[in-house]
Amino acid sequence: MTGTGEQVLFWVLGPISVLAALGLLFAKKAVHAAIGMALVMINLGVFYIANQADFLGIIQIFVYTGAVMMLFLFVLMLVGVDSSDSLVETLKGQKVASLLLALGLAVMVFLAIGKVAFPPMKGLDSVNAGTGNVTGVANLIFGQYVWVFEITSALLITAALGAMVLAHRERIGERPSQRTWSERRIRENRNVAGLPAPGVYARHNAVDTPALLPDGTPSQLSVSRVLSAREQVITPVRHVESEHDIEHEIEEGRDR
Amino acid sequence: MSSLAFAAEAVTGIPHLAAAVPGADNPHADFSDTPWWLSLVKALLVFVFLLVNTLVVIWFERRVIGRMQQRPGPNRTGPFGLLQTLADGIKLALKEDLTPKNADKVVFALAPMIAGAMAFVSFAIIPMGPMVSMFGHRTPLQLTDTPVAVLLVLAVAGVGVYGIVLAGWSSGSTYPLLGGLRSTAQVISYEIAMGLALVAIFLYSGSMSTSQIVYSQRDLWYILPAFFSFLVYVVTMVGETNRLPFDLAEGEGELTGGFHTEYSSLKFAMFFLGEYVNMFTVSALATTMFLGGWQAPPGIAAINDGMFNHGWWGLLWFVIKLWLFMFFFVWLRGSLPRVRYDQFMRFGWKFLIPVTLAWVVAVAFIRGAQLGYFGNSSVGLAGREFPVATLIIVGLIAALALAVTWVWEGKQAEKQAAAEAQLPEEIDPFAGGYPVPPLPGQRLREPSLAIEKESNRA
Amino acid sequence: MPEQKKGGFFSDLFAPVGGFGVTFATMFRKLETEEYPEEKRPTQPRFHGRHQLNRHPDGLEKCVGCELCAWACPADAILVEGADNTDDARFSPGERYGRVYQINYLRCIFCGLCIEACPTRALTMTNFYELADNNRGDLIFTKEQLLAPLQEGMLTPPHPMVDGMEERDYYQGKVSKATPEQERWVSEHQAEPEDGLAWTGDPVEGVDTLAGGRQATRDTDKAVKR
Repeated sequence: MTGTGEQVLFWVLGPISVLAALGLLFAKKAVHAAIGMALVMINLGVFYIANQADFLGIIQIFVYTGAVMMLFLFVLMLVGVDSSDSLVETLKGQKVASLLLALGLAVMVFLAIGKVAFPPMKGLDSVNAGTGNVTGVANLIFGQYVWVFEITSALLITAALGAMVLAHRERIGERPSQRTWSERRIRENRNVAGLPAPGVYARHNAVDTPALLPDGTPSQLSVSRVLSAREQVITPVRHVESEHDIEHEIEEGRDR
Repeated sequence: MSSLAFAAEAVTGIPHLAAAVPGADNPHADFSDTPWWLSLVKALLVFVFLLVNTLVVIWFERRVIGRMQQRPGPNRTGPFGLLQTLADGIKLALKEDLTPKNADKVVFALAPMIAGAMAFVSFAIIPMGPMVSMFGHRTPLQLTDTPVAVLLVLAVAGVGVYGIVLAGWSSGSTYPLLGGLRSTAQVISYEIAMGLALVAIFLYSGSMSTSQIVYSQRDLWYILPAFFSFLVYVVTMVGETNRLPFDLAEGEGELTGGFHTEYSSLKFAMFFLGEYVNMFTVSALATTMFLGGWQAPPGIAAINDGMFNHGWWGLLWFVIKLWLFMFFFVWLRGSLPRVRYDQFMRFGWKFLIPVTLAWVVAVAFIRGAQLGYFGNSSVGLAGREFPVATLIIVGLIAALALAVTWVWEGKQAEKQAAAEAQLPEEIDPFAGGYPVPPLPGQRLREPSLAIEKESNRA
Repeated sequence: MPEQKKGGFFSDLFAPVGGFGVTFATMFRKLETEEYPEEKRPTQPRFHGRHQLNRHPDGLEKCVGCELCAWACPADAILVEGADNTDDARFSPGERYGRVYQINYLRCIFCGLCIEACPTRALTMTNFYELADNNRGDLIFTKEQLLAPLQEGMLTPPHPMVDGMEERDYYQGKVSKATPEQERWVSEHQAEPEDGLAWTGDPVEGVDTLAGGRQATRDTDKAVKR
């Protein structure tokens, strides 16, 4: 029978987990969704600890929340800061079909789980007091399930290696050091003082906005070649116009 | 499935190994006589202890760094500047609390709370003393303990990092974002090395419970057999707490304050507090893991049949060791410059982690030898018994380490000789068409001598 | 390349942590910090401090209101207005005196060019440097705050020159103190100045700024009350 402490814990943390999961689904900003997911994972860890699986709960928090979710957050922060999902359907009838299929799956899962009957709770008290929680888990991992464990870890290592290989760029020739760059620049007598920096405008400055040359044309040297190649360079027209607007306002204020 | 399971067990030999001491995982401390209100009182005491220590350490740091720079440090507010921390705290509390326009308000307010709260939580499992009687109950001087106590500290530190990265993101400007990401990458990289360094301790003590680890150090503090773990742990603990020489996240020259640039008033104070309490937590963990926790130093422990190892004396030794680590932190800050970010990451991933892994394997072998898996013979030397297997393993590891060092040093010397050999001793200054001055140690080809040589040849 | 001296084994072993020894040893070195308000380092004799308008030995001011100091000042910190000495109201030997004399210490850069410009050595600099304040008004020092204090044998101007002496004699140092005739003249003509205005309507001369604490001297270490 669950003690009062555990019941209170469950009924406080359970709704919080549900709310966090709903936040994951419906949050407007990506980072809020990630925070919701981290909260769910922490609560899961606490539930594992409440069920006397100490090691599992702590590892859940340590590895999942502390490392995996952190990497999720990194990616979201660096890449997905301004992006929002477009809600336009690309396949016809996708929304309706996916909704029906999801409902069907939910019904099937509930029917399957609902039929399960659990024997009375044993709990991990005897194991924890006997061999100890961590030793017990170790006995299972390295004893009975060692093949599964090793194959899963091989899979993880393969995935990590695959990511490295896919992202790897083979270098042709050795990497130029700062000294070589500088010598090259001076010998060729091009851009001896370095390339110009990207443009700084009254209300905007970013690496993708080129600076303006004295005659008003954008300078292609001031943005990265990669951005130009990907056509991600924005025109500074809007910012120049907003600068004119600001000057106009200041003049007006002065005359008034 | 059972034949597969049998095969699996045969491969790893688990049934043999599982004959270790049963229940060795579990905490040594006895919490049976601790009612819930006493735990609350202890929690309050831990909280107050940490806050008071933080106040003192801020003053201590400023004074000691001042002396290391041959200046007095704060000495105006109160005698010896003791009220300086109070003055700073009041100033911070009364400052204007700004929230930038682009900031995400909820997360902006939440982040320092996470960072601050998590710092306090990890102190719950630190044993500050043996069994004492408080309010008529016998209770250990420790808020709680679990079989996975040390992992709890690491896990909570991992959650505390969320505070930093969310602070950086929610400020809505580039410097904090970059600083927050940098700091987070730093902390999780060095968390791995820290965990690995502590694995050696877990191997030695057979448990991850802090009171059990302290108990198993009653004969020998682990700083001696696991000295390499100690060195690695000290480096990583400085990296975890964002202190010099690893404080790139807040490097003022580079990031104008990093993740806490946009914070002011009490939210900033919360980060500050979190950083100092983190320092205390990692120092307390180091004390527990390597310096025997609350136990008296070996000479004093022997006095009067262990009188100084009982009751509230443990707290004294614990505080002394904790403050030794604090002094070390301050000493580091006063002596070392900041490392560059790429040097720092390279050091963590390419050096610390592989070397610590190798060390863990070495410790595993040493422990295996100690526990008798390689035979039980021992040899007697000067009245003490030394198991042969342990000696052989330790000798092999030492020889391997020496060989690796010798090879590495040879390669370094070669590289240096090659770099030096590239420079010619005598150069013709006008070789490139315009005059070039000689490098130190070089000679110029004297034109008059050259002309003479040519005319002699002609 | 010349060979660098190779240290011994231990110095090579501990070379990376040698810096720690330096900081640790520095902790025990004597501090050179001077605790300012309690210990003050005395200034050199020619220190450029607050200005002072000097007097002749009988009390007449040396300043003739020539405004050379104002023209010399690179920061435009000095305001001088001269006025004529009359027989009834004589403040300096000769024809003119400085009626209004103000130095704005927010502008003054303490360069001493005004001292070099003064032809009569009326303007010199003291060694007083504790001039910090929190508003503009108090940092514009007026004439009474800059005048040198009255010493033995000096009489407050306005009063006539010593009988038979001329401006030239004052400059050649032939006057050593106030004569009894001058004292008599002063006791006859000078009413007790009220509210800082002398009987000529000019500001201040009769007020003893030193005793009233409204003027600092070379040795004062307290701030001047305004």
